[in-house]
Amino acid sequence: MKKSLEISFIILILATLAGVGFSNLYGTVFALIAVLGLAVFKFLLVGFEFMELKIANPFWKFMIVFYVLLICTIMIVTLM
Amino acid sequence: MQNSVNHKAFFYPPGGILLWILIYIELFTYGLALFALVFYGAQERELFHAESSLLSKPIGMLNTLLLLTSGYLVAKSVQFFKMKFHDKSVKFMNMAMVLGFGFLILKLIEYGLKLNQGFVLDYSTFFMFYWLLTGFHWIHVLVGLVILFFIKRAIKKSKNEAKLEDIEAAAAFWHMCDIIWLLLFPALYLIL
Repeated sequence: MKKSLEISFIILILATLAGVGFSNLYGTVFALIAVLGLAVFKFLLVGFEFMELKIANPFWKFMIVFYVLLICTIMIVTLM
Repeated sequence: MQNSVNHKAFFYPPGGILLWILIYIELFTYGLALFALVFYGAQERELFHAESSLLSKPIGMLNTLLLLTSGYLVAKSVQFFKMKFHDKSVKFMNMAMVLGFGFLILKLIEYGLKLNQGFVLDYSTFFMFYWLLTGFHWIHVLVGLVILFFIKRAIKKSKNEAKLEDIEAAAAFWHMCDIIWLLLFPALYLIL
């Protein structure tokens, strides 16, 4: 539990590198979904772990998940 | 008792309800701008891709790593403050500020390169979005750094009087800069 910040940080770094890697497959739907999917994942990891939303009221958790999924879904659908 | 706030209560998210209202307003605003970016990007796909390719992915990635590392250090600083390790809390806050400052400097270097190449605000629709989105974000990071500086000074000067709520609010603002960049980076540098 105490190491959750460290684990989250390492995952964030790896996800960033993976996102840049997937972006080299530009032009494919897979690349678009992979890059934005990783962005959603990183966004939520920072929100829940670093901003401590994991201990907040469910309303605040729902709002952040709803927001990022909505934005990224709109981006994917618009660009597909 | 420093950790007496029940964050499960609706009115007391970590950082305080007012800051979270501000965070959602910011996210909503950036969300609209991102939608506009991809909307215009979809209209002129090849042009946006060509201009997005002019941005430096390595610089964008390095900036992302700087902000993420800085965010981690701020989260550790808050954790140490809760454990009453005030000196460690200040030390981690200092390191976070150095990396945040590094982000600002690296962004200025990137801005300088783009200006030298003639990619100014009114060069094209893509670069208008680039300058406005990253420019406003740059200002947010600068404001975040000023807030972190004063919070760090408060911890250093009056260790037992610094309020956890204020430190959590400062940290939440800093992380907001982080999560906004996590959307700007792929939108501007990677997917268009």
